[in-house]
Amino acid sequence: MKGLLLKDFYMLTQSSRYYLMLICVFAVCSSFSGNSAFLLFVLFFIGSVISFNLISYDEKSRWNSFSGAFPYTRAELVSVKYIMTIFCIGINIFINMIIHSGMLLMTGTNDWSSYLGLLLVLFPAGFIAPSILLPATFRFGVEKGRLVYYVIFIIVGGCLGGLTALNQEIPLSLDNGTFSVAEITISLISGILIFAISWIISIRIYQKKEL
Amino acid sequence: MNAIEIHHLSKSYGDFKLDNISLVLPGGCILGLIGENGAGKTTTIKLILDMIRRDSGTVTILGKDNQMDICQIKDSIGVVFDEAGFPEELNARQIGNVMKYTYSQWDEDAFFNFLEKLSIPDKKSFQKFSKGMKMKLAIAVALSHDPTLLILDEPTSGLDPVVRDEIIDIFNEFTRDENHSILISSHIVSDLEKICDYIAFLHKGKLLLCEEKDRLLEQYGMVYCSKEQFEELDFSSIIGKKISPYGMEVVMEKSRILSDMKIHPVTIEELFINMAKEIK
Repeated sequence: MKGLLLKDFYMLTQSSRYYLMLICVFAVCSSFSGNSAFLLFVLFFIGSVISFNLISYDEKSRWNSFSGAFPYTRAELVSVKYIMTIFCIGINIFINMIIHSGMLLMTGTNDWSSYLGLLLVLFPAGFIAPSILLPATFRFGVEKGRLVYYVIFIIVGGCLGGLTALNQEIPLSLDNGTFSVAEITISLISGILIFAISWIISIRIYQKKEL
Repeated sequence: MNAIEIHHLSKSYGDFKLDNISLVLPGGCILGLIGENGAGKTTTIKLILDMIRRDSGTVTILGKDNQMDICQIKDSIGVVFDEAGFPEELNARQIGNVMKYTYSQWDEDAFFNFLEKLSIPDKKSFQKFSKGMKMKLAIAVALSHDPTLLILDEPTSGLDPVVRDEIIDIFNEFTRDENHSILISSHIVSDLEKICDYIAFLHKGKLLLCEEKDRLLEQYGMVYCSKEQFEELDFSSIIGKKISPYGMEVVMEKSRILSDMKIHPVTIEELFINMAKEIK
């Protein structure tokens, strides 16, 4: 599977400048608003859809079919996208932590506990979008998978926009203080479980797929 | 050992059926799979590689069932499709690095030698390659991990004659080793005629024949005759015929041609076209 991972890393580095530009724009917006929770949300979303974009590049170049000629199992061909998802979300957390540190330095505060609490709650939530998107894409292809992508995007955007329009406070923000251990544990376990189930479903779908 | 053995292989799609195919590629030989577009060549190759599910039949590659040890089998096979599906953003060097971690026997020196020999730039992205260059890179990848079997699906389609000739030379070079075998499909019959030991005709999902090329060329011949002379021929030995204002062109078994008729040698292309037309 090393070869598949290397291939996706190469592809990721080719498109990383666009992601970095996007992250910079949102980082600036976030620093002006003083709310790094918003940026955390956006970064999780970007990280969670990168694998979907990698699959769409594969489909465009017909690698998705060609890869069937190489000595890889179907499980490996699927797993590489899930590993890339974990990697991208991890990288985005790292970027967000750097930005948050900068914001704390600028404001002269040292409030890490509520940030880390939010991070631990949002970390598993970041796996929900790819957990839906990846099996749908493996099953129906990128074109139809893109519809799922838009639906998720609209739901997330709609929820945030709706709450803002109603002048409600977004529930996940640093101002809400720290999360309880139970909340964090439930969030972590459910996120990991959903991701694992999605992974297994995708492998089963791909094993039946004709390349 | 046979490189490939296919027994009663069938695969059905809505409007197409690959019907009960059986053929053998003996070790050290080249088998050409000839058929018009949509005859079932790619379907057969994808079934051999277990990329699509078969309805029935068995496929053995290098002595192993293709559904038991497919990864191990693929490690010993070089595959080229009519369109090389490498990621477009990657260059040849990066593709080589990916393949280094893909094949257990990857030979980096051999790969770079092929790049040099075939004039493939190593730092240019794949999407900027010409069709010929893409195909050459696919062939370089297929040959750089010491494979014992090459499976090639239309490797010369859409290429100019010079590149096609260059590629045919590479395949000839590969089969100098008596353990190396090639299964190659094409609708450019003249390419296959140059290199193949065995020929299989596929037509509308059915295998018309699978025979040694030299035996086919020995067995069949062409005669030019009048309609009256045609009536005297043994119809059961006729493969195909063409009627023109000047007379008739008949492809048939040489042994059944009347002694007073002049026998002309037949090419594999003529044989295939006549057979396919007769079945239509």
